[in-house]
Amino acid sequence: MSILKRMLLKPFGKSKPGPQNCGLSDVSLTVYKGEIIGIIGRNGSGKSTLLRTMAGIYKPDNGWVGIDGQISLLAGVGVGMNKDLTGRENIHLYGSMLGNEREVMDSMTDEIIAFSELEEFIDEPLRTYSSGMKARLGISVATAVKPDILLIDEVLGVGDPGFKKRSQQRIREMMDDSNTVVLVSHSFSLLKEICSRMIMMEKGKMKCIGTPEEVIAAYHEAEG
Amino acid sequence: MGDTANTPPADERGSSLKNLHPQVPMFSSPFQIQKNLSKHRYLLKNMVNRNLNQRYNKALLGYLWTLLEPALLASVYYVLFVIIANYEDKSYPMLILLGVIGWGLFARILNATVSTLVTNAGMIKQAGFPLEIYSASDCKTNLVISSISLLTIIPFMFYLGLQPTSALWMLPVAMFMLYLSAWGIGLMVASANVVFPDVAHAFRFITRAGFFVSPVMWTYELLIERAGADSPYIDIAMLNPVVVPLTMMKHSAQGTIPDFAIQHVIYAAAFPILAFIFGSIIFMATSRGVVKRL
Repeated sequence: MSILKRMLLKPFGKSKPGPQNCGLSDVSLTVYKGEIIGIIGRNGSGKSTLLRTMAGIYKPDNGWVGIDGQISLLAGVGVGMNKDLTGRENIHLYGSMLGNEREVMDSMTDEIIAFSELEEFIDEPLRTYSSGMKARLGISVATAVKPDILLIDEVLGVGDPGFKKRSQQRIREMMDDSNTVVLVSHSFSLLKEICSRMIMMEKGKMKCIGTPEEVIAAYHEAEG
Repeated sequence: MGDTANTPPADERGSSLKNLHPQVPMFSSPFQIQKNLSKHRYLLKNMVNRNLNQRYNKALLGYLWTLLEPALLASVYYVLFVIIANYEDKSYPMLILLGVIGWGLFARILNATVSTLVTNAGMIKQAGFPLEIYSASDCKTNLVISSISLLTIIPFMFYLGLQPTSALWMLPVAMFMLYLSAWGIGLMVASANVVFPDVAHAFRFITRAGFFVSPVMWTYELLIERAGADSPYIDIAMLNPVVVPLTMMKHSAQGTIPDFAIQHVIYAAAFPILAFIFGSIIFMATSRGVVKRL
């Protein structure tokens, strides 16, 4: 078809029928206070979609999402942070994006800086930070205020081994404080260690839910 | 699972669980938006700070551009109209500058709000705060910039021997009318723009054309003089919601009160309020549903 014809017909053209692309289907899940739930699955299986639906970013076409407590989503490295602002300014910006008030952020800033181990660089613009440093800052902010429910999308694996260990320790502290965590990760060893339950997603559906050992075994079986 | 979307099932109603997407009664939408803005005012402040930083941080002159840009424009108008075209009315460049600042506020807020969901798609999919915060931060950013730009009028007033009068009350009122009208209209179509990106293209044309059909380079009094006070074209021209606020801005610097017909005043006062009410209703009802299309 000529380019001109394609341009003229585009507004009136019918879209090709394709497979129904449903992000999530028939997902019914109750997460209890104090649980750490791990979600695994292949790329495109609906893990992040599920997390974002829990966070209220996506509105379900059917069904509902109910929460009891403050919820924070940690997805992507330094989401919303501005590269021209300093680390300190980004702490306030990101902290406010997570729903925290000024007074809370003012009181937590020193602790956040100490946990991130970025004291030397905290007043430098974010564009001078490496991706690992940005992730450390993001995780430090997201976990500092200890929300009732923390949703984590594949960012726990960033940072040097020392920081990874401290992030995981902070997650355990949240568990001890009866905070609830739902995390997506490809690190089965981490999930096995800290999760009380796990879910395996496949093509938008919950394929399997159970103990970490059960679900990881089911995943390996599905992968062949 | 509920029978209808976002309704808790019968056995969950009355539990301590809070519905993440509660049905907001239609006419409560404007109040819900204000409530969300109030609840997230710290975030709003940080986002305005971020927006201003993004705009001016790297420039050598930084925030001085908010004054320099209109001042340079004013100089160009002065040379064009007073020196070259030899306009008798020496206040004409100041009137144009006021029109440019006012129209700029309206156009920037409108275009930013129309595109708000698309422009912020990346962050929307990763942060769960209310979607109206994004456009509200753009509105406030542009209000800050325009307000600072208004300072360039002071030297003009001094040059023309104009004293500040009580008529200056019209300036913040006019700015508010422009702000609310633009935000309201933008909210009405922001969700549609996610599905049909043509909407943003259409509004870019509307704001370009609107520059000429609005009293930016001309005045309301010139329109009356040319068309005649009883001309039906006046009623058509007054359907443009920016005619009254832009004229108010110009008169506020001159210390005079514009002579509008009462029906035009009522229309101009009602338009921003109705635009915001209907914009809020449409936005609250549709925005979260289109996020998955981003």
